[in-house]
Amino acid sequence: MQKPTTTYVYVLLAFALLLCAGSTFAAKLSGTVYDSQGEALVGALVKVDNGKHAVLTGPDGGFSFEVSDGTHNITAEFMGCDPYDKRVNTSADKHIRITLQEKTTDLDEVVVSATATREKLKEVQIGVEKVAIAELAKTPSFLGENDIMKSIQTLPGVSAESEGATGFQVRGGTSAQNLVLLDNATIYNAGHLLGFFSTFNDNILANASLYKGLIPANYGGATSSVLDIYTKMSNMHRYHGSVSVGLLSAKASVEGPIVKDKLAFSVAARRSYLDLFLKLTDDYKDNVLNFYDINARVDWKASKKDRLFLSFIYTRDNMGLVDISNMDCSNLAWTLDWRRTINEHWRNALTASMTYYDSNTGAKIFDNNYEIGSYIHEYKLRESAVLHTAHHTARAGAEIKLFGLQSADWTINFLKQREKRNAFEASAWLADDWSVTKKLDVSAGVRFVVFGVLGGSPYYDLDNELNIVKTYNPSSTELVKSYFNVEPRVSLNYKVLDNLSLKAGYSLTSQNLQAIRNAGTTMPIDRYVMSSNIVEPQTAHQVSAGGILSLKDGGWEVSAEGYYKEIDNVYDYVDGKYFFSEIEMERIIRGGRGRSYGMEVLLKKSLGKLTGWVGYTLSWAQNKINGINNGNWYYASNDRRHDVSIVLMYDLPRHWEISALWMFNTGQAYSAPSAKYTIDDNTYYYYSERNGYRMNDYHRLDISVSHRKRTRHLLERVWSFGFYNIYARYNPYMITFEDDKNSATGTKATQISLFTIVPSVSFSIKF
Amino acid sequence: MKKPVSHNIFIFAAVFMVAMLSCTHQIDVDYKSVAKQWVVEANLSDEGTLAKVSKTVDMTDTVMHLSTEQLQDLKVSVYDDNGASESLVFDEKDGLFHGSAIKAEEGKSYKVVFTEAEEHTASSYPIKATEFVDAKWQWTKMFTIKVLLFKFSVKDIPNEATYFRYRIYRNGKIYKWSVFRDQGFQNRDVVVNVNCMTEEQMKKNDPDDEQVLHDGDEIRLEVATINRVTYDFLHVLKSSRNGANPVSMFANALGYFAVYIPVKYECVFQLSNVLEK
Repeated sequence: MQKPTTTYVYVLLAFALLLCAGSTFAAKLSGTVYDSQGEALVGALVKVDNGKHAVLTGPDGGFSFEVSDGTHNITAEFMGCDPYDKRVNTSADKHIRITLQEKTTDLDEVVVSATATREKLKEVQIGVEKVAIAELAKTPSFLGENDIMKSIQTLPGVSAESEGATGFQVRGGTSAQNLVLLDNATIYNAGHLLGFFSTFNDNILANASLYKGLIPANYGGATSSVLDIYTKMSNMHRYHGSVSVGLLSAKASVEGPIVKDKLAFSVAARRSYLDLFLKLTDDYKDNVLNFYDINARVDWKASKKDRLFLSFIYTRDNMGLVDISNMDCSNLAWTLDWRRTINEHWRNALTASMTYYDSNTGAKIFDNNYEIGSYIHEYKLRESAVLHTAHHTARAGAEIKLFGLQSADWTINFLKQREKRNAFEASAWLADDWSVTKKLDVSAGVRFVVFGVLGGSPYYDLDNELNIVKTYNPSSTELVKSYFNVEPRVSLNYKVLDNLSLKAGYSLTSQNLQAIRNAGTTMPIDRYVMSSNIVEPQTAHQVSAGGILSLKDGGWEVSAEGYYKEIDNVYDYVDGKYFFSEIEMERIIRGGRGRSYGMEVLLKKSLGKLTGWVGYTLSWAQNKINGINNGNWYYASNDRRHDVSIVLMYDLPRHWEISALWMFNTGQAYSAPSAKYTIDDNTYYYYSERNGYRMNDYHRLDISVSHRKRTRHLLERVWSFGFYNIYARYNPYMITFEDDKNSATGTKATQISLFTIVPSVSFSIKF
Repeated sequence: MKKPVSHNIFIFAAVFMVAMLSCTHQIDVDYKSVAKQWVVEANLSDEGTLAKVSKTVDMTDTVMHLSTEQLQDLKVSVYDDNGASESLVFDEKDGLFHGSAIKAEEGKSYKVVFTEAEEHTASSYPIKATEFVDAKWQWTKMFTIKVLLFKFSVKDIPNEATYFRYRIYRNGKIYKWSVFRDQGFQNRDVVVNVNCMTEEQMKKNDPDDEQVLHDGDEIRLEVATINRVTYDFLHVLKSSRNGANPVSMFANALGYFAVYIPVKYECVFQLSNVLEK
């Protein structure tokens, strides 16, 4: 297939225009939006008939529409409040009063409802999944830790990097091609304990959106997906808190007003205590194995029109075998966000954020000393504006990022070397969600990206064998190289019926900072590389199409999507090279291409005592990199032909809840030898093709049971018990080959399984 | 909670959890069958040439060497860049091809040609020879395991990236081999630690365990500088990561051609002479 071009955009736009039609108005629908204290809310978004008309409330909280006679669906949204959704009859002019309730900290107040399905029907973007934190809390957890990163792995098109890993892969991409944002700050390695737990404490999370298909124009820097996570707005009226103890870690959170209805705070912290057990043993007492994270947020209602929040996260992992090795990594991120309602149509957001990701690894093996440190420092300033009119929601914005990347600073015995690079990325975007007709919505946007490679460190010219033939030492103010990308993003939503939508879209995305991995999973030893005079930006074209059918007033959802994606400039280590081989990243990696295609089906039940979903994905993912597999296409290690997730949650009497998760996927593609030979009397293996074999299929069943009870002192206590992989299947994690004198063939293959059955228990109390 | 939970419960829980974690078991793999390929090991040193020719076999077969008749039909020749050439002689006793007329010299480049139905050629050249510095046996502790190291050091070739290969022979047979770089030891003595056996292996003294050293074993160490292409082949062969094949130095055949001038060290292993760290 040839590369999709911007021609697609024009075809889609032309299609949209052909379907364009007008409508008539007969009655006036007006009203006022209030908060739970009875105060008029300025800047609340009010929509009629799934966004056919939309307006922001004015200084008095008021709004007004001209609508036709009949019944209309009216919705209202405001940051930090639960959405309002009601049907209204307008045979004559009508004035209504809408009260939005503030969200509270209690998870069970964010209920699973049919709203998500109705929102999905209206959503013009294709391939978007909203993650409900309440659903997350009910699904089975690993070692009692609710984990948003693992929760999204149950969605169609999303899979785990490997057994137990929080790193996720979307539509044939790798986890290195995802952008993970927390309150708009980038989080680079969102994993604790080598990626078995995510760095996100669910106590402080409000909601998350996963853009696995077409990424809207206001996001950039990822070729596979964007996971946009927001923390909860601090409660301005009441104090809340929780304490939770599990097998692995304990966590606590507290929030409340500093100045009532004006200024509020929230803090959450978590720490593992595996190392405390180690101290009880003689052999392991001096070793280190722990992680912790701290989240904090301050919210300020500066005026009726202005809201600000300051968000902070710090996460750290400490692992060490005494006198042998250490592995530490940390994430620090700050966000300052100012949202202003200019008038009833126009909202503005100014965000400043910074991210510091640091990793240090050391090993002392038989008097040889290895130490490697790396970091990514990112500073971001972002301005975005949203303009609502009757038929349009226009978005425009700009963003500037400054990167400081130290791919490695190492000491190998007497050798000290460092590679540090600086760059900037300036982006601007323009997008419009247009209700063209009652049935057709179009979202069209474009993102302009300029990436500038800055001097201040050496750059090279390399020969075909990746030897340095020339070295440049540009000054820190010198622009070494620049790249300019124009990235169109288009989505269509055609409502065939009130409960049936068909969607299609195309996007071009780019990524200038890439992780290069020796292992199949995200590790602190990953090295990162930015676009340079040699490394080119990774770009991905994706087309997708599908539909969503809502049944029983949103109680059931059936959706299906197909996609085709091509990625250029996928980089990987050259055969035989690893992160310690050379300090210059360009000397140990080569670029190539990737492609993936497939389809996803989701059946979801959102109402009733029994809720849950069944997801199925059929997919292919392949790579072609010069120097690997003789330059031919080969299956990527994340290629999974079939992927099934079944999630069921059931509310039992007397405050008991039970949930189950069954996952199945086709075995991972891996390289096994096809022949063997001897050199120096040792046996070695000959590989006829990269990833030409399949591991055994992966499947497991997780079960969780919880009991919630409210005490007379308004405390809620929750006991949770669970089993991961309850039927103790030996799922493949790795397969090794070695000589075996006892075998008739002289060779044996050994499968390593990571987890069999793992029990968990946790207790939490909330006030 | 009504009662404080005792530490014992947590310890039990932690131990139970760890016990439930990783496990291994042997599996059957449905291996693909591929066309057999020639494998050539050619070593040209300052003493002459030794070459071994074999073929790949299917994974389900035991590794078999070619018969004497098959090997006698083959031809292996060495050429230097002055036009001299030598046809190697097959020796039935060791199954190797031998040559002594052409010897590795600094500043020269060489070519080896292996001929069956078609010709397979590889070229290489020697690097300036290293110098031997020191060697010793030493026990060291790694975490809770006591390991016997054979520590040796050689001189780096100053101001250039240097690649080495070592081979350790025990009683005339290859015992350990590997390749290494001067990374971290540029313009210094390059120190190498060879992990020979653990104390547990030594005590167990399993006759099938070829790693275990015994008093009286005659040890010979050869260390030589090699060029980068040879190093890359041997390094990938040794690490064999990601299912990658080393890039063969022969066209349409697997294998390498190493040209080198080694330094040697010989000793008799005595457990009582091993140093304690």
